[in-house]
This record gives sequence, C-alpha cells and structure tokens, in this order.
Amino acid sequence: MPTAAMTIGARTFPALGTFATLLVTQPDTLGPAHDLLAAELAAMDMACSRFRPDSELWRVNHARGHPVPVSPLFADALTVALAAAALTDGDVDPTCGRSLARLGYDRDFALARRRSGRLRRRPVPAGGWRRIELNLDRQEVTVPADAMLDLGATAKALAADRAAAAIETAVGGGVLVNLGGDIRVAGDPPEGGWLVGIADDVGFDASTASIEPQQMVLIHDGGLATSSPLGRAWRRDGMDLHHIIVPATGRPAVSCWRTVSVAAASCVGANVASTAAILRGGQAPRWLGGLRLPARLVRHDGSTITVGGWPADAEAE
Amino acid sequence: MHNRYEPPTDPAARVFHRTLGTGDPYHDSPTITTRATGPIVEFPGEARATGLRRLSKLTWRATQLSAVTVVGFATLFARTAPTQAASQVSTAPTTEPSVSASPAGSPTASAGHRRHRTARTTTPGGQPSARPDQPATASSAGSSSSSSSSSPSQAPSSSAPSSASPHSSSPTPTLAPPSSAPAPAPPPSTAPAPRPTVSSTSHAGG
Repeated sequence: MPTAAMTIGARTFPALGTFATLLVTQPDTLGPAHDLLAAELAAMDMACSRFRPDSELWRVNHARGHPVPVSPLFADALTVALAAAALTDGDVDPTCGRSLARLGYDRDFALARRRSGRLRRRPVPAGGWRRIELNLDRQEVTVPADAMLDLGATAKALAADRAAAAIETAVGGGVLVNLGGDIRVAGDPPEGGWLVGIADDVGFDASTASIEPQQMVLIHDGGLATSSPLGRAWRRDGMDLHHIIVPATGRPAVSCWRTVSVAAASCVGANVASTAAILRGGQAPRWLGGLRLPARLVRHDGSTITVGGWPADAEAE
Repeated sequence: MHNRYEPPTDPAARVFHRTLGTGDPYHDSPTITTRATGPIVEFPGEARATGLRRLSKLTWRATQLSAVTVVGFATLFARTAPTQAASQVSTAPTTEPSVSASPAGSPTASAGHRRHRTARTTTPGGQPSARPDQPATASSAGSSSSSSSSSPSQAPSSSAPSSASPHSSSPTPTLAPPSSAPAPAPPPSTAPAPRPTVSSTSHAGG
C-alpha cells in the first residue's frame, strides 16, 4: 500500500568509508531496519574489506596462490564480482587491487588521499579475473600470487541489495537503502515513488547535507547507482588519479563522462553498468541503450544526455 | 700401528717434506722446501693435521648447511602457516547451507563431480535477492557456461543457488532494466516533499 511521503522514517550514518542512508515507509520500523542494515554492512566489511587484516579478502589476497576456504557471503560477493566482469567483457574487473595499490590507494581512502609522496613503482595491469578460481562446492577461493582482488566496485552495491531485501522481509513496508550513492529500494514505495536527487559534481569531501542535486527523479523499484572519477580521486606525482581503473593498463580511466547514473533491476546491475559506462566512454550511450537501461550521462562541460527512458534534465526540456 | 715417524714414500709428497739430517734416503735439500705461495714448514704430523683440519672444515660446512636448511624450513612454515590458520578459521561459517551451482544449460547442480578446483560461477539471470515473493527480473543479459581453470576463456555464468537465510541472496547480477524507468520529479512547489536522498559518486558523507 502506498504510503504518504511525509511519514517516511530516515537515518543516515557513516559506513564502509562513506555514508549510509536508510529510508522506510513505516517510521516505527526504523530501529529494527537500522539494526539489519548495520549488521549487513558489518558482515560485508568483514568479508570484503581490502584494508582490514582480519577480513576474508585480506586472507585470500595474501594466501600466495593457495586455496582459502571462505564464507557463503564472500563466495556470493566474489560470484557477483566475477559475473560483473563477464557481463562487461572484463571492463569491471575485480582483480584491480594491485593496480590501485600501485597508484597509492593501498589503505582506507580517507588516509590514502592525504599521502603526497612519490609513487615508487609503475602501474600494473589487473591480475585477470579469469584466473580467479572459485569452487562453490568446497567454498574455496584461489587467487594467483601475482593478483589482488578488490571487490569495492560491487560489494557495496551487493550490500544495498541484500540489506533492502532483508529489511523488507523482516519488517515489511517500503525501504530504500543508499550506500554512498548506490541505491536499492524494496517493498511498496511511498506515494509517487522514492525521491532521489542526482548529483554529478560531488567530491569526496562533500557532506550529504551540502550536496545540491542537479536533477530529481522518482523511482519505484530496482536500483540506481552513480559512478564518477570525481569522488574517489587523489593526486600523486603531479598526476590526477581516481579509482576507476582500466584493467589492461592499470591506470585510471580517461573518460569523456564526468558522471554516469544508471537505473537497473538491482543495485549491482546499476553499479556495474555505470562503472562500465565510464570506462567505455563514447560507446556507452549505445551500449546502455541496447540494454534498455535508463541512464544519465554527464560530460565534463556539464552537458548531459539520457538514454533508456531516463527523464531529460529540466533545462533541456 | 705406527709409533715412529716414517717419511712419506710418495715422491709427490716429498716436495713438502722437510728432512732434518743427513743419511736420509729421501734427502733432497738441506733447506726448507717451498711452494709457490710461500714457505711451508713441514712437520711429522702434517698429513694428519691437514686431515683433521679438513674434517673440521667439513664439519663446519655441514653445520652451516644445516643451519641454512633450518632457516629455510622455518621461512616456509612461516609463509604457509597463515594460510592454514585461515583455512581453520574459515571453516566455521561453512555450517551455513553451502551455495551450489550448475553450469549453464544444466538444470540442477550435480553433486559429486568436478571436485577439482574450478572457477564456477553462475549465469546472470535474476535479481540478487531471489526471494520467491519478489518479481522475477525481465531478462538475462548474456549467459555463458561455467568456467574452469582449464578453460579460462569462458565467461562465468550463474544459476539460482539455494539459500535459506534471508540475508543470503543469490548472487546473480544482471544488467536488466528496472520495471519502470525513473520518472521526473514534480516541481518542488507542488508539495512539501522531504529532502531527497542523493545518488552521487561515493563520498565521505557526514
């Protein structure tokens, strides 16, 4: 049953190196819903953090090519990451961990961006997602000794998908989970839909309250994600670097797009498509249109194009 | 058993042998013989002393080799121990229902084969949260067969794994569109709408 927009319960808190926003259409369920979201985020962080020595990903990355038993959650996260690579012909490659580390993103981003020393080693291409061995029968993962996984591209979106589904199952009603811009909704939306602002010039230092969206849209189901080289960007050796890596070169992508927002059936799908669109540059609109994915692409000069039924900006109407 | 010194009979050894008196049948020179590297004074126990020195040297070399071997094994164990410890720690979560999968085209998972290490993932085909009460996704974008270490060129594929926990969702990402595209928001003046949640690139928040 649709709910009046004014009865929405909301809570925002820091999580996974960014922020998490939880909206529910039944405010009295906000507490239990928050607990479920916090538990999901804690579990995902413990499984997939590249920087925590006690995480499963750390053990897998440092096993020197030996198989490592993993939890079902980690197996799911890796399955999603490998499927994302397959869906994008390797553009969204989960083995860019070493590439990011070579560029200085070898610790929590808030710390890594403050470093200013020279990069001592040359960029290195991704390790190759096809070389990752995931045995689902034995729940074992083998990463070659010269490769390093980074699940940051998909794990956050997967957490949004999982948390929204779990909250809707447990407490009912409509729910929206927003993890640093990766959004997933579940259950009955509020009347008219979930109001989502699309921002395309946000730096890492921006606060959620200070962001001025460039466009407002209403969504009713599925996921929505925005990718950009602006947010997780830093500077080393006189170079402007960011976290969207070209797997073949190990260097940050040079794209004609400043920001790409995509709506899909799931948050993972939206995140994968928006990241791949940054990497595919000028071919992205045709690719997204062929998949019938609603998307909004913003050039560096601020001009936008939309595909797949995404509403045009008000100025362009 | 020799209680008395006897000069060496090997002519080659004589060059290093110092004789002390006349009447020695092996006497070559009344003076100290020399080698190219310098003067060497030969004494009656020289051969045995040389042997003992060599034995001592060999013993020392063996000791060094043993030490290097011990250090090598220690290093090897130090490297492999974290992996084994991780294996033991990670065994606990496997009490949950394990995720099973089948290669594309196979309707069900077939247990008992493919026990070797394979990179089997699953074919794209549904939303990550594959709960029965949720609507199915529209389509699957490009399915492919399972991939193993012996055929890495094949793309991963997915199936619908079983899951019992509400937190456990089937990892089957697709690039399927949503049921409805985002709609334009009404003008802000029509109603006192709450502040929207924002989709932007990941930032620090706060």
